[in-house]
Amino acid sequence: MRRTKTCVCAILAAVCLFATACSDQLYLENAATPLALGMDLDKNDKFHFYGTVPVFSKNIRKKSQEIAGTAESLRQSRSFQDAQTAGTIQGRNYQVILLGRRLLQHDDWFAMLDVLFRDARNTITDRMIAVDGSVTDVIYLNPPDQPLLPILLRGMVDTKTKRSETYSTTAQELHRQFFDKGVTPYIAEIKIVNKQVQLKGSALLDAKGKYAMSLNAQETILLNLLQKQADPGYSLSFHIPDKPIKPPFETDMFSFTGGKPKTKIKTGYENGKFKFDIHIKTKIGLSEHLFPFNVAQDAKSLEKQASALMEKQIEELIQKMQRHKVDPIGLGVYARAKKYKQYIKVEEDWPEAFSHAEVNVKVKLSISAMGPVK
Amino acid sequence: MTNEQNGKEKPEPGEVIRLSLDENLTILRKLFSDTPDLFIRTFTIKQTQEQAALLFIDGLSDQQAINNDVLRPLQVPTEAGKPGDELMMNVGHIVEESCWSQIEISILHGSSVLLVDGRDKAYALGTGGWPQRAIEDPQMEASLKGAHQGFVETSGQNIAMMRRYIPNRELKMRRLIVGRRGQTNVTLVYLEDVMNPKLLQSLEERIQKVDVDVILNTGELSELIEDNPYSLFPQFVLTERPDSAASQILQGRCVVIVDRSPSALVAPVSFYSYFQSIDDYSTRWSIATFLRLLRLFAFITAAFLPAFFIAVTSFHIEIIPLKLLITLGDSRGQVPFPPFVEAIIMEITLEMLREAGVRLPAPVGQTVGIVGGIVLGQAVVQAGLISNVMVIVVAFTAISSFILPNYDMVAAVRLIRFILMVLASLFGFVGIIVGLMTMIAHLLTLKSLGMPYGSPLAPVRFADWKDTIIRAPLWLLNKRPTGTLAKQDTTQANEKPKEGKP
Amino acid sequence: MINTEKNSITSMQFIFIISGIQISVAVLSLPRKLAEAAGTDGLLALPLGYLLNLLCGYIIIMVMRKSSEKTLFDTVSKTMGTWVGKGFALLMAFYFLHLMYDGLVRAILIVKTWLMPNTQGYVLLILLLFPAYKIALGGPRILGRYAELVAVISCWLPFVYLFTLKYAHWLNLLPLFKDGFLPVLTAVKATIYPSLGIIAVFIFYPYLQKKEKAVSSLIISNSITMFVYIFITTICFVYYSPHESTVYNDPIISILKTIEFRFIERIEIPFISFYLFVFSLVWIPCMYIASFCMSLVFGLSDHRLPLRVLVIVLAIGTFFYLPTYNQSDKIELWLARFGFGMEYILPGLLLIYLTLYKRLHRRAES
Repeated sequence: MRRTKTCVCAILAAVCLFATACSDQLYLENAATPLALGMDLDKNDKFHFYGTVPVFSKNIRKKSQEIAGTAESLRQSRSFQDAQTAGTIQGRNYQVILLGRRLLQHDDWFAMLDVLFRDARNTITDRMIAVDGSVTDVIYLNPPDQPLLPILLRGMVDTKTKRSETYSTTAQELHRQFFDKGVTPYIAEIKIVNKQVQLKGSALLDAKGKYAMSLNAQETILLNLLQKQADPGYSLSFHIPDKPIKPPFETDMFSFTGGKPKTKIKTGYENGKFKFDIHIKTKIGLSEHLFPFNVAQDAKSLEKQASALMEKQIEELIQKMQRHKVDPIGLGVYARAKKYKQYIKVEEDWPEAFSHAEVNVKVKLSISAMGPVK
Repeated sequence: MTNEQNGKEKPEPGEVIRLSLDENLTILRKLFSDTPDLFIRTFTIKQTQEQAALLFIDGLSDQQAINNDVLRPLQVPTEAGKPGDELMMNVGHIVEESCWSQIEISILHGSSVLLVDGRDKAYALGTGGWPQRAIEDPQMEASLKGAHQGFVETSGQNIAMMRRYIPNRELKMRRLIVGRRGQTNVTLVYLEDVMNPKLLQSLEERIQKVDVDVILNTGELSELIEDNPYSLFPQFVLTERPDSAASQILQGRCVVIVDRSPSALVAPVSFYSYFQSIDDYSTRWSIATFLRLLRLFAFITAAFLPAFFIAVTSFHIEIIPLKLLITLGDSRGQVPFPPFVEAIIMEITLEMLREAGVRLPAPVGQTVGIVGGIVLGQAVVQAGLISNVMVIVVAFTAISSFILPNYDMVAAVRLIRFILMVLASLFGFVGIIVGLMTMIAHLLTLKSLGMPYGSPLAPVRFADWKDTIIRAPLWLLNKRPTGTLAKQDTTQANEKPKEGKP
Repeated sequence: MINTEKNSITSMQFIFIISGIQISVAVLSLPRKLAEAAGTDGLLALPLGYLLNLLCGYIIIMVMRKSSEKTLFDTVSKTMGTWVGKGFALLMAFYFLHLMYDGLVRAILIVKTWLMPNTQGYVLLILLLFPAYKIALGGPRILGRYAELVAVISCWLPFVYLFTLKYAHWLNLLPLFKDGFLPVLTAVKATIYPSLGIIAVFIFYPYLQKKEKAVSSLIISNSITMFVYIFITTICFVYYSPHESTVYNDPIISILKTIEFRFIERIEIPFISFYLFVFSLVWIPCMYIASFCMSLVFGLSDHRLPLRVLVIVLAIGTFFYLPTYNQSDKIELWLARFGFGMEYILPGLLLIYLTLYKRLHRRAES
């Protein structure tokens, strides 16, 4: 008897559960999962959103659908986004977030991304990419000879990051950079050239998120070296002065592949100014030199020349950053760790303090390999 | 009615036979009325000049033995003896019986019974020779390197096969009779100085409590003496291999041999016993370890993979990697059913195919394979009824469940899979985890012959891990598993073989 | 009254039961609370909390050694009277109910936030109660095995966190004692809530197989807890920037979102589901202890009836009311205060009372 009673109870409970479950169910085919999110402002500074939604069907040639519209905020626009697709829009699979140049020219656009962090189901590993130009051009580009745009961009950013030529800054990482007062944000940057997406390098933002400056691939590598993030395998090229040039070929080019760099940063405080001594030491392998050169004999002099050139470029880079009051190197973090008392006074406006700081760079390259050719 | 009429003349249980042969034969004819296969041969014993009757059941006894070893010696004229002398017969196994009930059992179990006029004893002669099959390779537990002898339907032979592995006088047996009509011989085989006596006693008590008409198979017995018959998990291992039975005995377990059934029951066992195979010990330890881990993995995939697939496609699409999302979306996009229905259809088809394959004779069985392969693998996907990823999932679960060496555990996994699929379709990952948690709770409380079923994982006994989850080199396995509470726990004192020096 | 032989637990099971009650849901918000109190210096408060716990654990064991009867409740009843004993049991029952409810509500809220935002709270609760009831019914031995098993199957969890070290900024931890010693001391307060649970020793000590190892077991269990806390907090502090750690409610889970594998895009989804095992380590033992204490209060022979009542009341209660996140934070706050009294002050008082009682008693006898 008791057993039957418990059975009946269990079945009743199960039925109740069945009846109330399923509210979170969402079949894959009913979900519209935009893979790219674009944000931009138009000429009247009205907020626009864009999205690329993959279309799940074998019979349709075009694999993606673009959605766009104006809105006050991302979540507020959800119904409007929904209205454009067959499924319900889910922000769970974003791969990249594109930020238009006009948007980046305003402070505090980062607040618009709050929904990403607040709705726990959204991704926060989407790559942040600045667009030099308008997002519309990128979203509606749809090159026929390339995979879906989000996949293309994601792959582009991820693989180039391995070579230190750009940054695959995720939304989470950007969040960290915004919250860390000792560093200013940096993200990847792309541009449309001849109807082709091209990776430009990286874009540096100031503490409030406003676009400050762009770096090309070589500069990004140098910045990566300063940040101790460069992986071995990065490649740098320099014009060696006093080498013969035979136009139209620039035969004074010298390229090398860097090994594991050793970057040391010393922090000091003198005369009301922060002082940073940066030592970069690395072994390099020659990749090419277009001028005749005897490595066996003159390696030392080439090392010196290359080191000096690199030092100069880094110094120029740092000066440029100081001018724009951005500190993507995160020297503020060093200041905080080593000179906390002095740092805490300027914490609220670290980039300003950084722009007055004295930064000395020393580079020491040593050639360890010349390749199979003498 | 007839029972009552006959009952008057039927002997009481325990009643002894009469002296007069005629009276005895009348009683016998009453006892075995309508039994045309009972043969009664009356003759005169030449040796002693006594009237005698030989009773046996046609087909249960060996005709040759009766003719040559019983009838011929008794009918050969020899020097005169007097009535009451020992009879000359070429039979080894002779039991003197005087009870009717005993005689009845002897006849029905295949012995021939010799009744002699004027004697108060009958002779049950071991001339049993019922239909038997030859010893063959075990069907369910095939082995690559192990022995190729499987248990047969005669308990005597089965015990003999095991004794060949353990020729030791500590190998003891207890014989019990189970079943009112069946009178099945059930033999408990164990090592006296290893087996824990409390477990043995508990097993014996459980078997004695069984009160049924007849036990046709070991499986029936196992269900009747299980700790928790409501559980999905088998609590005793049924094996048809004498070598694995012997190995279990050596580990301090008890093997129950049921007459007329080709499988032996092993108790107590743990969850991991179902993941071991006798080949583990005859192959190298590294591959055996790998195989054991593989089986554990197969158990997990066989039980959880379809549920995982359902949970992912209907709740947690965000965890699908980008490239898979697009292919998955493409193939799911044309399927008219929700993932759960899709999975259920495919899983049921799979189960049907499997059942069809088991019952059908081999030549027809191939057709099932072809139909299944083509229908499942191709047509369903092409017709857009089922997504191709689902087919892969189902195929994977099928393969996983084939890896598991024990049929009973596979059966449990099949049912668990369906439960988990329902849970996953209702609550996603949370449902799967709750299902797993409940399963673990159940495994924790489950017992096999009073011993914890989850051992050595729950309770954790690291010492036992080296012969359950992995298979350590044999020279390290010098302790019996603690899960059997063996009296004597050291099995060997082997050292690692020394590296030979040139 | 209770059969300790048939239900005995090993030292390892004892260790994991205690650690389980301590870690479970409390670990989730620990880095945030430490960061709120002392920034990255909050990490330094953990060893201090550890020492405090060791002391308190030692006192608890001493109380158990001093108690002459089989269980502490018997001792209390004998030395202070039956009604005080019942009152003590009621207090314990209430405390563990509180602990259990906090854990359960937290777990449900987390599942609701991260996995199933639209599912009713009571549905999740009923789901979770099925295995919980089955295990709690089994008593200490099954609880011990469960804790042990969960420890074994979840020992790989910390290793996943190592993947975040790729983005570690070790400089975040420097300088130590940046604002002096005072913030570190205030941060010790934050370690109280995640250390609650040592008092379960009162219940499980009688079942322990090797009582002479109780002290070392307790030290090991506290060390495991502390190691987990230090590990997790360090991971969070080197990953997030100093001001960011306070932004996330449960940094332990948020940090998982950032780990990427090629074969699985978002690992926090399966992780949070799997975490239910770890979370369950608080509510299942507490469920048992609470119902066991209730059975003492009402003089019942075993804990089945109170457990059933508890399960049904929980299921029905949650149907009508489930605390919100803020309310759950309040519950946690109260629990920390309640727990401080129960775990750090009460054992001391008991120890003093029992010592005095024994001394007086001996004098009275002689």
